[in-house]
Amino acid sequence: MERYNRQTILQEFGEAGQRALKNASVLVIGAGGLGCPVLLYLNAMGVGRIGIMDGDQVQISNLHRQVLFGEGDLGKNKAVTAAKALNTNNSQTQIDVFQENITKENAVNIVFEYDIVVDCSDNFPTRYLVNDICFLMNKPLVFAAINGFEGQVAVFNWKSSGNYRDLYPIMPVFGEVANCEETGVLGVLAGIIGSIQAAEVIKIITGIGQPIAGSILNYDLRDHSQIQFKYKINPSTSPSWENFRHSDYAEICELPQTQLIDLPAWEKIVENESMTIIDVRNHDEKPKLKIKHLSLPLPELKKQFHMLPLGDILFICQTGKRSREAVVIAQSKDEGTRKFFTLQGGINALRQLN
Amino acid sequence: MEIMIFGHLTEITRSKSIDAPCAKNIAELRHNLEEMFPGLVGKTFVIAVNNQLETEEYVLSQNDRLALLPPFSGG
Repeated sequence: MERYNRQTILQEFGEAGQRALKNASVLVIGAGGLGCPVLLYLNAMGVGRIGIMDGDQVQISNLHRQVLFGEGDLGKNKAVTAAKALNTNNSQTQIDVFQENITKENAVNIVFEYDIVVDCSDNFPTRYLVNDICFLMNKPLVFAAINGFEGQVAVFNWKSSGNYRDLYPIMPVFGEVANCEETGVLGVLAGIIGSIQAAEVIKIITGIGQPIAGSILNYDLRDHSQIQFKYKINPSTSPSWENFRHSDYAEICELPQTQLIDLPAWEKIVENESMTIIDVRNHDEKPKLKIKHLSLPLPELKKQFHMLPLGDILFICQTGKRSREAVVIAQSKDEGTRKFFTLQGGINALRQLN
Repeated sequence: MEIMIFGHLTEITRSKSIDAPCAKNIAELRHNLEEMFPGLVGKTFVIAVNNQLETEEYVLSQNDRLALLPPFSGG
């Protein structure tokens, strides 16, 4: 076809590559800074079926980087508006519009319909939800995220390439990592990273080249430096259906100061054995605690919660991160009859006592 | 040991590259960094050694190329 001639004459791509695109279906989650360039290129190049998922409306502060939208689109739903713009470029694409954000409830049925998922979202709860459902349903996931002048890209669940939790097992606390609204982002950065993301989708579909699998690419616009960091697969942090069902994928907030235990308070608790201490690290993690405690790895906490002894509980882990999540989980399971605490800084902080 | 800093962590370290005292493993390096830059306490980041992400027990050597990589959420 004349339309795709300039790419089908590429020997490595050819008519076969074009057919592969035509037969492919791709779900793009988020039609924002990353979503716009991803959608533009997948649609223009001839991907047969594209799902667009976004529950947000176009705002004036989006226009500098969300290049599918214009001034006349302010206040309109992004998925609907993006679909219209794409249709003017290529009317042959089947476009499915989802005017909603992805949730635990709608994720399974929607993701099921597509060959590949592209994460163009802008917040951690969505990113962890998308990661988990793609892992559980074994869908290739093309991930990208931007911050200031830098971007990250990785392909997960593709030929055993691992998942986001192999890098960052636990969601950062709300407010820890600022988003584009807070720190700002150079418009063109979204274009560059989104285009790399679109290229990864095309490569997976057509088998051309080597996708960024088993490593994460960090790109810096300021000097165009690119470094790929390899990561190892860690089955102990992999998503499970059990955790998917129980997680609310909400922002994890900081705990009140009264639930954070500092070193002097820790020494008193250990001396008086005033509450149960539970180590939520995995069984093989070192150093082992030398004081009286129970061991219950975080992934098992939800299932085993009813087995815990009565009374107040102090959770502990290596850095204080998993133990904080343990407090949140315990509070959601408990009927409000007891208190839960976390050791600030975790076992790493205990070294200051020696 | 020279360490490359990525993303918003440079707001804490004030530099893309910092020099930290030698550490025997990643846990000790993390601890040293938190003392040098208290703003790093509680922040999520992974540490790469020679472009490979490693865990807390990983034993470091003098000439390792180190990097701190935080997660990004923006889109």
